Amino acid sequence: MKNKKGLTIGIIIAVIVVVIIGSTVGGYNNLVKMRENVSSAQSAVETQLQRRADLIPNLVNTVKGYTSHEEGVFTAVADARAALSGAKTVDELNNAQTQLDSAVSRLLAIAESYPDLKADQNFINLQDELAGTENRISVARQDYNDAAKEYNTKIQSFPTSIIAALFHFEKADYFTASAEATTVPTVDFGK
Amino acid sequence: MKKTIGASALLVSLLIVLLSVLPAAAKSDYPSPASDFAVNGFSSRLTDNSKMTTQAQSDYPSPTSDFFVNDFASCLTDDDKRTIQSLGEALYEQTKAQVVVVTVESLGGRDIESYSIGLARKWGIGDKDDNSGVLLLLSTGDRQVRIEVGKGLEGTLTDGKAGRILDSYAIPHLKNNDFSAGLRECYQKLVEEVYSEYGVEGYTSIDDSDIGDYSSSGFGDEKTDLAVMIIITVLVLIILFLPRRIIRKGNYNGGDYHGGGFYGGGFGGPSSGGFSGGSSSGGFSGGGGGFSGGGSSRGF
Repeated sequence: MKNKKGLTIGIIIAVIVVVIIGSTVGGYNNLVKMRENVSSAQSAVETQLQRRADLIPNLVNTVKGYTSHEEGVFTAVADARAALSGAKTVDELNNAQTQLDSAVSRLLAIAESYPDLKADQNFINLQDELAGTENRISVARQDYNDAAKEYNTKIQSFPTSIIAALFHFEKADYFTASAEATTVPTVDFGK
Repeated sequence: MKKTIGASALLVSLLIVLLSVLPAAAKSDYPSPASDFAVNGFSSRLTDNSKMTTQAQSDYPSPTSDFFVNDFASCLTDDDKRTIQSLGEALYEQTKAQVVVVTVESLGGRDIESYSIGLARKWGIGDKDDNSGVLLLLSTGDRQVRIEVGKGLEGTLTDGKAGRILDSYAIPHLKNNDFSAGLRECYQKLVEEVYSEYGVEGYTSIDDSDIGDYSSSGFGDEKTDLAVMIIITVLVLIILFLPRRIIRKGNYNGGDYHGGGFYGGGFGGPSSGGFSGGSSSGGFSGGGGGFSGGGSSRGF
């Protein structure tokens, strides 16, 4: 009789232990997968940023073919690209991206005063590629934020928060639109 | 006696628990998004959350059963609708790619880029494995048009090319408020581009002399590829079957020859099966293709 009682308790304990281990493993694997989603979303953003940086020299060359006396802009673009490749910290990288953004919008604005350039098929093509890449960047950022939000919510909500704390799952940062990105760039036509 | 019953009860209950827990844990290894929901046995929060993050999904209209033509703004003629629908169905049957036309009266205050990718993703346009979807979206109220290109077709339909297609085929008509002709011509050109991506020959819808082909990959390459593949396959088959006979004649018992590893499925590709949306059931639906924001937009 006593023996039977002991067994029942043993079974109950065993079941509880198995459930706890099982859900910990499941929760842990799930968190790992979500963290991977976040980092793959992040690399998607970086890929598109790289693609944009690669497109810009072509754009510059096309514009150069039509305008020889806009050296200021070409230098600005070259400087921004140099800053981008030399950037080491996240801050430097962001600054360089912003610098490049404004240099490129100046470059595109120049085209407005050169009708031949504006009608150039190659230029239109590059402009479309650039616009497409900009769009991909914003889509990739949105996807990253979605993945990060899902992951962040998961690691903070109970009971996954215990597993997250135990195995040091850290919060992912969100992309925030820079002030530059949300406002329309002003263009200096005087140059 | 009692001990054995108790022990077996313990074992059985352990087994049951293990069976119920382990599959859930194992499932999380699969990369497909659907498995997210399977793992959610533990908490239903994630489901709510993911609904929240794919924001404002309910804002988009649902696809019509035609799927390839969705004229919510009622700006297409019946003839053009039929043309587009039959072109779309034929393309789908041959390549599994889906090119879809959507017209709306308003984008609801959003920019066309975000509306278009939201709609394309929600409908799952294109084949799931190939990501071969294209959305041609027109908003009559905002006077904007966009070609949204699925991930798998970005190589053929580059952003630049999508822009040129809009400029050459859609914009001239759209400017004159001839939405129907603009979209039809644009659609024909898009279908043609997708066919060429899949190497389906003999399809030319309209004269495309005014649009340069900037993409480097051509027809020729694919043709020679196919020829080379056929030759190789024939050679491999000969090699596989020849020794067998020789071996059998020579009474060789040792090695086990697995000739079965080869099936021609490799290049049956687009034509083989996969037609589950079936016209027999009277409707088509999205195949789950992915989009990353490629394409081009124009105002007119």
